[in-house]
Amino acid sequence: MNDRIQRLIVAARAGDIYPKQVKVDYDAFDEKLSDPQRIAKRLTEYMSAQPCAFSDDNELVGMIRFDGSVEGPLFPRIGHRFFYEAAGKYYRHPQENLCTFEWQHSNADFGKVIRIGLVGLRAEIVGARRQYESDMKRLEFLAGLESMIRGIVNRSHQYAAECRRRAVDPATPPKRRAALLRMAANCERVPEHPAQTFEEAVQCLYFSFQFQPDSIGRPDQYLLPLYERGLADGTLTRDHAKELLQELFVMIHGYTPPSSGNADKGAESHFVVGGYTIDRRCAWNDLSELIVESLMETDLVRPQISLRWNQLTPRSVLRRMLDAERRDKNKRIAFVNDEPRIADMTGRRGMPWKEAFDYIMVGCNEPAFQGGISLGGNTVNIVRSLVRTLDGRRAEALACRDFDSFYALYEQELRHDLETILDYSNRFNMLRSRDCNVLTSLLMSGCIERAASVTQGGATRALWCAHFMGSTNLIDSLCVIRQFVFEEKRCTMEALLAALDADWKGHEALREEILRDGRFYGNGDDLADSVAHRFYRSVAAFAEGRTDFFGHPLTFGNLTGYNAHFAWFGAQTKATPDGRVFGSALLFGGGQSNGKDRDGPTSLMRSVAHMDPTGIMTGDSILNLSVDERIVTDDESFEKLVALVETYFREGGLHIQLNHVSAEELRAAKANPDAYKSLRVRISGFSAYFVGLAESIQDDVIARTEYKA
Amino acid sequence: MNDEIAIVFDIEKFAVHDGPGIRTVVFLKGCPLRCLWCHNPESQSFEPEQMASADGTSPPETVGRPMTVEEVMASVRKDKAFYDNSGGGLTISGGEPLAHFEFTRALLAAAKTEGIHTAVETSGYAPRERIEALLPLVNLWLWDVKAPPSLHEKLVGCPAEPILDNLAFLSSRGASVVLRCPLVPGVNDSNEALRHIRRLSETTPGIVRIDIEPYHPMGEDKNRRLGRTDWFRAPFASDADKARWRTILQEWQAKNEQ
Repeated sequence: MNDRIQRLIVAARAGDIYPKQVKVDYDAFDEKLSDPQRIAKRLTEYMSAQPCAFSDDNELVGMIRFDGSVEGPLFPRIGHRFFYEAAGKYYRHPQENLCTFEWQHSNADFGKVIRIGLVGLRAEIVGARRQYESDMKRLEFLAGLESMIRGIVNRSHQYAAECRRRAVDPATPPKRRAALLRMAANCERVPEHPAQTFEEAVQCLYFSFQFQPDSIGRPDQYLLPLYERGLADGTLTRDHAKELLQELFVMIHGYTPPSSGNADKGAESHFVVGGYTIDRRCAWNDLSELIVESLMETDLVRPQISLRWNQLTPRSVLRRMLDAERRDKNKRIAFVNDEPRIADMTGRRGMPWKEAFDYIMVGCNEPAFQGGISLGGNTVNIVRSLVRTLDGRRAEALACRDFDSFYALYEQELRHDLETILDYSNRFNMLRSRDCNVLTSLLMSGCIERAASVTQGGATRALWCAHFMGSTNLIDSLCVIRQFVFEEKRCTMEALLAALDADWKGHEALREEILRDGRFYGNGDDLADSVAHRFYRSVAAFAEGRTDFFGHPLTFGNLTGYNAHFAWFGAQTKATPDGRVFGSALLFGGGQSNGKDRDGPTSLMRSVAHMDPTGIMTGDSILNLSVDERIVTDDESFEKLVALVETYFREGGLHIQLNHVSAEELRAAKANPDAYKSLRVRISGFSAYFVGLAESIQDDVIARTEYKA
Repeated sequence: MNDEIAIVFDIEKFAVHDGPGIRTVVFLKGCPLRCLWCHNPESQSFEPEQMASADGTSPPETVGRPMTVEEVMASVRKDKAFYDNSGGGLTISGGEPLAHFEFTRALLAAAKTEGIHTAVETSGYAPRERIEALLPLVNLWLWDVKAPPSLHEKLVGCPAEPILDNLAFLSSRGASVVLRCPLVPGVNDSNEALRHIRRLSETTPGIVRIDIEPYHPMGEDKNRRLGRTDWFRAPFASDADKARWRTILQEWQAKNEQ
């Protein structure tokens, strides 16, 4: 990495890269304009009034800060300018301990802008206009998009002018002068016209990112043609391409300021490498490698990358990415499997391959589409459905004579909660649809041809997802009911409910017995696995034939990036049959925890890989796997880890990310053993639960871990 | 045959240090030897026994439970996809697997039948007939070299000769062997001891690698929890010790792997 990039990183990490926001007074007369016209006019005026700021180290330009005076802080996270007020009153609070609403990830089709330019989009607008000749509302919207294009082009030309101004400044050194003239030419070309070089393409991406600042999608695919052409005709070197990518990544990292509550997170602007090409070949290429290499050289927390693995992915590529992962102290890399996800898209969800093959990962771990809207964002306390069955319908629960009849009762409550979640989601999207968006809509598939704002049903690509918290608590609780109450008859339903009512006080023996002998999920246990299947089949049955109010099919997952929610909802959820006590946090992801995974990682991974026979959970479902740090530091063991992950994917696992235990984590485990019951460490020839070791051995392990790290 | 029973004290999944690939290690309880530094003292007795909890407050746990070959196989076969994709398989360890001969033979045969790669980790201290009987069932022998012949009886509790004879026999029958060398600083890691290991490697065909297993005092804690009052103590190996081991042993290995 060269000095210029290093200086840019220092500035970005210090938060020293943001242009000043210049306040703009809008002309009162524009209140008379239609929404699309007024918003386009104001955005144009706003952008045009902002300084063209960049440092002497930049070779890519375009950063801008929106102040929220035009519409909400743009579309991506919020949508409506009064959203915070509405959300503050309603959505940000748990709805009867079931569901809350948070922001979502929608994504621009940056590759399309690079390929056809705004002139290409304008041609599409002209085409669409012919279809809506007598529809004033749609014509107004299309006119708003056209105004917006003029505003964007104007903005890039302002940058070009600023580059030329600096180039002729006598104080500018000759080398920088040449760069500035090149930058000016780039800004004159893109995003208005299709990019002709790799450098123009990255400039286009850099400049356009802020109009939908989330995932950059599949840059190793849409940047590839210009990358290959540049290398072939000698106009681009690999080093120069790397520098451009690194400058882009610095901006993406810096887009979220250090003062933001999300500054420590890597979630924003997560993108993918690898996957499939449209003609079903392995999509990993030289540019994928360069992108990973470029990112790994930079000490940034954003953007994150997921490798899209599939059955054509060579082991060398998986190893390469796991190798990057084990070396990355910023933990930016995760792994997803194309096979179950694409199978669900093209099967249950009825998508054509030509769209499904191109999916991306965004945010924490949500699947999405370039140019697609993310609908949902509903974080769901799925444990509530069971608590309601046991409490709200107690007489019926007590009357159940077998697990089937109990489950039938439970399923009614589950469907009730799933209905409610869908209702909340629709209400949120109705709230958001009050906002007309003409900027992001340009970059989203379908908005031009439908002549409708992305917020108002314009988007044709979408992913609707609700996010279960505590799915493992729920499945384990159902397992305990089946095993202890109905199959082994170790306790009656009355006794179990009395224990839950008392938060296990006075019933400690029962809780101990459950924790000791319970056939919990994640151990390759047939009973637990069949309960998981049954639950996910119920979710799939609910989703069958249903859509959200825009008409998109439903998908579910088991993650939310809002970690606080797991504690927040848990704090209000009473004791559950899996041994969980009142108020303790709900489990996240599809894994197991608290020492209930007794049979090692292979069993856990097999259970997770096979948990859902329906595909309904191919939303943001995840598996966090913790491994001893020495598994990744020792090359021979590491090779086995590569095979472990590959086998998990071959078995149908959807996602995995790794934790290697650090000395810091071990110290935390020593101080707070209850929270680290599942943490295993390796002592020479065998492994042991860390918290079960004597203090002196723990200290030794910590010392050696520290040494290894 | 699959009704054979042994006391199993652990089944470890995703074991990465006991043979090639991803393995499941089945630990059988009971061993005829009494190595001074034994890090699994709970593996010595052939019966289940009580062991105090590590934190000293939870109830004691019972170490070891009788399992049939079929019960063990039910656990082992679940990971077949992982073995197949990594070149791994089943490793039987202990205790001393050859002291559980009928069970070990039956378990190996069952694994073989299901196409699972097999390894046996052994001290080699067993009648020749047992080793001969297992030959066709074992893909890889993990063979302990615990001490040079001069110290063997004192440190391990049996003479070295039968073990060395068995190793020579295995070699003569074309078996693949990994030498596993637990090294305890100042106890069995003299230059003479290391040269013994090296000589063995150089003169015995079929030895595919040497695994050095540096001593760790894990056994101390387990001895305490088993209610014992006196046990062997040694420090962790120093970096200087490890460097010396490597100089003598791993050069051979590096050369051999080329």
